[in-house]
Amino acid sequence: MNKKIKKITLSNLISENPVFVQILGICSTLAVTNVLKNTVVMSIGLVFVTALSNLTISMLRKWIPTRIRMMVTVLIIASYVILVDMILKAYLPEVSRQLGPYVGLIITNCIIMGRAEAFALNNKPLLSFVDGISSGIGYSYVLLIIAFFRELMGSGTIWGIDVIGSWWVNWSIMVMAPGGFFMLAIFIWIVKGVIIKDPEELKKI
Amino acid sequence: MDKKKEIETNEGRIGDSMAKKNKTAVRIKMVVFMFSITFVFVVMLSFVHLYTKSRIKRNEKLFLKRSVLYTANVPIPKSDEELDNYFKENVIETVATNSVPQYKLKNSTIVVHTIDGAGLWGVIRAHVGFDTQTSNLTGIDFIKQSETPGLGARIAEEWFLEQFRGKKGPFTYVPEGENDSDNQFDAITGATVTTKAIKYIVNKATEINNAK
Repeated sequence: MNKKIKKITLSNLISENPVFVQILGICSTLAVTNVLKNTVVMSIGLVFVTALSNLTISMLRKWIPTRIRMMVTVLIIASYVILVDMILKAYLPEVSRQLGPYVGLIITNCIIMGRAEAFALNNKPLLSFVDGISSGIGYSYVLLIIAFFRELMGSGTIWGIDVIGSWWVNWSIMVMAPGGFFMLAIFIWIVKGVIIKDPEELKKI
Repeated sequence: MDKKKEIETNEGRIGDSMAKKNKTAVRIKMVVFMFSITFVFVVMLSFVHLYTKSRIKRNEKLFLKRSVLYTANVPIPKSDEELDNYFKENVIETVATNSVPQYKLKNSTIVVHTIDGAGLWGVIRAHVGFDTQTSNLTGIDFIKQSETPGLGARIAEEWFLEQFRGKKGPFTYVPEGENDSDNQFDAITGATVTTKAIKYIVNKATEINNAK
């Protein structure tokens, strides 16, 4: 069991990483990574929703009729997203205001649906829960790295605090969608071309 | 030959009706399952909604009150209770002609208008405060906006909001960091549509204020 958990976690973080290997969840990668703060809250929300929806779907997997499984998963995911939205509005109004429409956008993230479909419907609840958390983290750390560079170059700040100084001319393109494409492509290029050269090596991890 | 055929077809018919019955059963099961799981989740969400509703409403009200006082350039009480009390004693809320709230401070000449403008992605709703004696702006604050984060959304940053205090419209905008007179404000580089919307909002507010 422990071995399995370790294997799932590692594969979700690196060899099967949802963003740079499976290329999932790209819309939100482009949309929220221009400011670090939004990225962090988006990541927390995604980890929460993926983990809980995976757990719930896995617990119900024996009763869910195969032909309507998509409807059921969407229903469960949507419920959790609404739950996150309401809790943020009630207890963290500042954060909720900053995020605006992004919380609702968690539902459109293909990673959640993908994990439910590919993993939670065929595995035990605990494993599915771990899978949800680790794929959420696998998504989050990639986004955080991209957001760090986009905010630094686009606004000259980190977490809203000025770090570079006035000599730096902000690259407006970095905070717009094209900047997200460039950074994501560069990130994938570096990871696949320099750090992990051999695709066979990935499978051994 | 004929008999055999008949039997076959009969069997086929029986098989058909069996399959049909099974199919119907499966279909009913699916509908019942979907219905019950939807019911369970909706009930769960309704309870959470009921539980958080009053809190969410209160948070929104407190946010509006803080924004009005910020716009009027009045020190904002720290605790929520003090804010409520201060508001009760010192602020008169009325409904303006365009059916948006308007706030008037007692024992002073300050009025706060609510103005809507069209931003890049959606409506921008702003509080604009005036000193009716001098018709100078006391401040501006945005209570609803969905501009691009990092570009248009910078209108919510302090440097942008603070630049309007004490100025007098109608306004024009100049490139970032170049405003040096009473009727100019800094535009936001890379967010021209948003800047135009802000220009519309402050000028509309000035117009409404001067009309009275």
